[in-house]
Amino acid sequence: MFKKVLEHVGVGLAIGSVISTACIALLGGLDGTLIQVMAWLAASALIGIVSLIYDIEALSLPLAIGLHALLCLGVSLGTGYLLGYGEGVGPLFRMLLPVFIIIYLAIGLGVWLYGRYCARITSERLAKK
Amino acid sequence: MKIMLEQAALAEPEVCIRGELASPQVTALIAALQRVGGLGKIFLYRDEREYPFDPGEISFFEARGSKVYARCGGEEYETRHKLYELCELLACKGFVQISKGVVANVDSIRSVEAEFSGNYTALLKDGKTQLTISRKYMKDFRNYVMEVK
Repeated sequence: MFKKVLEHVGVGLAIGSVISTACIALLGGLDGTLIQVMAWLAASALIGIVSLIYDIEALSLPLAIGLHALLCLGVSLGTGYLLGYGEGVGPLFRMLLPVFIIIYLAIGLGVWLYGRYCARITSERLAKK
Repeated sequence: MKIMLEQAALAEPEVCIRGELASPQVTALIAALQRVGGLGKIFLYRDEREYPFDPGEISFFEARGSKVYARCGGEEYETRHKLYELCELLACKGFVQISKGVVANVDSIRSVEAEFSGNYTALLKDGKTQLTISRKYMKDFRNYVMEVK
């Protein structure tokens, strides 16, 4: 039940953020902040599409994570550049790169640990049969 | 196709198929009978001979090229079914698809190990055969083991 509630909250947030942003813009609230919100919402949608990379079975998981990191870095870099962050692509890249490295190393470690956990509990259950 | 029905005092219905057993029509008939639970056996083939097997004797099915093979007790046989048909027919008998080309008997799997590539390796109870569980199918495999078994 809790999982279902969370799913519905997630869907509500996803739809609501887009609709409310669009409504605010249409009702004369289009300012610098809202433009940034809209840009990052669009970037989030692109990153969602990029996540389809994990469905490509031919790619090993470490390679998929690496490609995902690069593509998301590209999306973030492009969005940040278009919004005028930093002093250009170079400085922005140097600022984002360490952040992405740390985040994706953490993701990779988490995925690896979760995989080992799944294998362990599955094996324990198989042994009980 | 001739269909003959004969009233008889038997504990359970008896179906006898006579004719060219390798024909597509007979294959479809056998598949239909299996779907209604009429066949407890799976028919496998080797050297132009036919062998009936209990599903429990089969470790896994593997699709290679245009054919599907079954591994039973260390021996390999051919089956006339497609892999997706075997998934449907044998889902209630403990068979789960673990990769694009393999449907495995969960009872024949001893343990599972995670690989760095994100896939998993299943070690069978014979101690030497290893199968790859791709990450796409691991969730369903794990759910089956945890919930059904």
